Amino acid sequence: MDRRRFLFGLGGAVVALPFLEGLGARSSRAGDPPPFKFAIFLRQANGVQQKENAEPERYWPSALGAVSAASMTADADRATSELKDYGSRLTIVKGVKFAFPGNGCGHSGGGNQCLTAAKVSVDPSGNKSLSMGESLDNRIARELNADGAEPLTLYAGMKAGYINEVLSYRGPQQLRAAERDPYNAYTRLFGLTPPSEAALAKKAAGRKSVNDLVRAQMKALLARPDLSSGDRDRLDLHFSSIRDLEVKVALRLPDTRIKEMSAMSPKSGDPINIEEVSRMQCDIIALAMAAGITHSATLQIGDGNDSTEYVIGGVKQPRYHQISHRIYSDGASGDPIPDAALKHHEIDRIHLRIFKYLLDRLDSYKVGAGTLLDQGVAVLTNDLGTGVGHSYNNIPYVIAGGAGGFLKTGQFLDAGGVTSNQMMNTLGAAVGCKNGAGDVLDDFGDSSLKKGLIAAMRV
Amino acid sequence: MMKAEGMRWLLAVSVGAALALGGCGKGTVGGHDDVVIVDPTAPKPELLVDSTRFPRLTHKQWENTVQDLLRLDKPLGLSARFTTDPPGSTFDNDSKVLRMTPGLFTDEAEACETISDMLGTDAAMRAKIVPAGGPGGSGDATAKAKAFVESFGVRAFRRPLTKEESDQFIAFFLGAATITGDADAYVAGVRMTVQAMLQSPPFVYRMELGAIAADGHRHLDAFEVASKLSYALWNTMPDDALFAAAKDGSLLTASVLETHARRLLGDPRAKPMIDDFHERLLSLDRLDILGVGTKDATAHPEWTATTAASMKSETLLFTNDVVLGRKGTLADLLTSNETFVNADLAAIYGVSGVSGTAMQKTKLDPTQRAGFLTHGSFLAINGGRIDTDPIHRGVFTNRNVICADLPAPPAGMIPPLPDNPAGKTMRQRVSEHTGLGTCGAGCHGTMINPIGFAFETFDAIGKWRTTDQGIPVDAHDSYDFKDAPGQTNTLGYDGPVALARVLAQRPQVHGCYTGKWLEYAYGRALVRDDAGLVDRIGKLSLSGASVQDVIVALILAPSFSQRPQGGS
Repeated sequence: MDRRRFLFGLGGAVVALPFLEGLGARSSRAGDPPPFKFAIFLRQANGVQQKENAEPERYWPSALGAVSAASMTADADRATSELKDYGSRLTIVKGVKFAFPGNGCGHSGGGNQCLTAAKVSVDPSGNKSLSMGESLDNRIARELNADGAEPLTLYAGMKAGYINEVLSYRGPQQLRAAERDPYNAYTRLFGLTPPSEAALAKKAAGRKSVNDLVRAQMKALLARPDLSSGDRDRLDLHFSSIRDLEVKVALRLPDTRIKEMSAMSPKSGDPINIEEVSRMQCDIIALAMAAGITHSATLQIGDGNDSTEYVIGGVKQPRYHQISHRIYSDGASGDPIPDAALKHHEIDRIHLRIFKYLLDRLDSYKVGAGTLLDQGVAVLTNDLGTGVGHSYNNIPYVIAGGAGGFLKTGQFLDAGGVTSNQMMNTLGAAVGCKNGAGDVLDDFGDSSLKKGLIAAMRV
Repeated sequence: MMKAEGMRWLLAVSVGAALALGGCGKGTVGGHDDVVIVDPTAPKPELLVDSTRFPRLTHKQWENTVQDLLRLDKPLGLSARFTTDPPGSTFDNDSKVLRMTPGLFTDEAEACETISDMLGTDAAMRAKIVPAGGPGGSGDATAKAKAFVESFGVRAFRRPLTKEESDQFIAFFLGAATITGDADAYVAGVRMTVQAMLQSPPFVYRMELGAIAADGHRHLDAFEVASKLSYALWNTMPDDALFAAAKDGSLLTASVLETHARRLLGDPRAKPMIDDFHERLLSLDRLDILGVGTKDATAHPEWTATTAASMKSETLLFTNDVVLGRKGTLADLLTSNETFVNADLAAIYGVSGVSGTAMQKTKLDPTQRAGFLTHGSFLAINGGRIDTDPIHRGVFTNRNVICADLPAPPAGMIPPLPDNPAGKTMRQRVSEHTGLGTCGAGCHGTMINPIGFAFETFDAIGKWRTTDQGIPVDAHDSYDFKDAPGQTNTLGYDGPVALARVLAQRPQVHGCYTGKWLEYAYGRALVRDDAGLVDRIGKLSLSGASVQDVIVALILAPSFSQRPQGGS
């Protein structure tokens, strides 16, 4: 019995709990369902400003080993110090790399591997390249979600057309589109004003009668003997997409926040709003986890090679992609951007502050003796290690929450140059995914890669 | 088909071309199993190509179709909230990526329920779609249900309903009131039937089921051809005339199909299609993010907050004028100096006597401007903040105008150009960094730079210049066109106008543009087996066929309405 059913079991009707209201009183009773585990992935683009060539280290904590509020406070010059309030609940990991080369475009190839640990397509190539495997958020949803619910796939910022979505894959080359409008995302999951029971029942009956008709039509099509395997897959996906009306979940954001989302809706793709849209998406992700709608979610911040003009100290900066190259150009030639490395560092901090906002939201839902954050993992990662070099080494993994005690928190460790499949295995296992033999997940990603978890991350 | 789909870049250069896979550099022709070799003296046979038979409507097509189906004056706008589709080919109608997913299913279901609710309360809206007599028509409730189901159904499914479908929907219509609780059973039947039909596979997909004919090929039926034509040229469902030609079967004759294709191209509804094609082909959406601060105010004082939008408007007006207004050719698109300017552009093009925001048709200096590659749009998109960007101008032209087989750049670090030393032109700096004799020589030295340097007479926003760093601009170069198997045709030019004229005469360029139209009109990526067709129509274009003739030729080709033997 997952949380959603549990909440419905309270009386069958939609019950609007106010934002931030604790769930602890109910969830701590004997006989309650096991903790709802989840994984959330936030993705920053263009690498981070960590040590590379002559540029100094400004990202990772200053020393391996234990991290705490005190140690991170002392590391104020490091971007990760933005998370000092969560020091003891963090697992920060360097020394993880993408296993495969890109195919002509470092950004695209990094995005392809970011959550998949799979190879980059030969064709299409360049900025159009695609992953050759499914992503971890998809695997988690496929394995753990009830009723085939999809992972939550969200986006903030503009879609500039060069590379848009990069993160979530249903399977090889099957990139999932991401929702960039928080109002759309919210209303799709939670509805607006809860209708009366009678109206809801009527709507559900209408939906079901139409769906039954559509199911019959789809079955007739699927019975055709002359379908190619590709078309059969296509129609199967359609058939399995038919959903009867789900009673919207019994949690809501405050009306003021919903109004803000509604006002943001027409301008949600404007890059100037990227930070606020990111925070709104974090509100939705946290609420979705509290409601047990899905066990996995992604939030992609910025397009493939994020060309947002971030604002630092009230001043709009050059495009982030250009800052990451340190020149006024998306290519190789251009005038140098003054203080580009420092600007990149400040943009790293912006992303860490968005991540902290998510952690604050998750931490505001009280569950048992702890909070929702402790039950799952929230991960801030990147599809590159660094911007100038387009490096696939030292990909940032800043992980919060211990997945109910699976991960050893309060540490910064160097995984020693392992490939990212081992990170994916560890995170998948942490939330309860299994391999084919029923043991903890240890074989995610490309089959040529060395299996296993990153042992030092575990308790 | 996977292998064939993997060859689309090579295919795009199919006219008279023979290329080594992934090769840059002089003399890399022929000799690879995977190359497309088209011998102009012995045209390749035109092969039929398979792709999904269930292309889902794009969101735009859904919106347009709902508007036309319900006979509304303007779109309802409900698709704006649909979850977006993942990126596919150059265009948004690549059937490979257009699939029905759980998120989209729910979005469409809610939109259909909204329409159903509107029909339940808006009698005028209902009146537009109920058959003559409507609820007051002759016969019993079943006869009235049948009249609605069949008259609306043929337009919603874009073909007559089968007997089984008709029976199914009549029963659904008659049972609707028990679900909705509507007092008026006819109203309940209408709105629930519309709701259900809009979610039915024959509405959601532009199906290409066809039937195997005596020649062993799968031929689309007349209704499927009508839909394919209508969505290709209007991005919406067929109109009444097209339905009539499908119903009597005449659309399956080439002359009638051609008549309708030309009729659709001559209708105002073709304009958004021509806009959409060129906007995506030329990546004009990238102008949307070229705000006022993206060009240096000191170096380029002419760049205002509205310049980028004016540039986009210019190129769309120009391509529309050439294709629809003048019934012009690809050569016209590449060489015509007659375009549209307002005050923003006049300041950059050096045109006097133009003020205000309205666009005026104008002839620009023919020694400086020829075609869309000399427009501010292309030059500013592929221009830096201060300096020119010959590399990106060269890459874009190679990829999208010549369809050269330019491999992706090497993975990893792209070394930036060294700081700008005084007294060196951009050409000198780029040559030293990437030209012949450097590690970038293969692609940059022989393919990218020779094209990009021809545009060095334009600054970062497309303003004409004669010097760079005080040194006269050198815009002459030469390029190895692949005109025939094993035959490289090295052609020289001095400056952008001369380059445009050379491009306008190359088979490779005409094949490239034809291939893009194939992708757009057929709603799928180009594949290797398209080579023969692209070769033939590319040559038509080269010999002076108008863009409209190219589009019509693609529609009349067997590949438009047939699939290979057996098919999928």
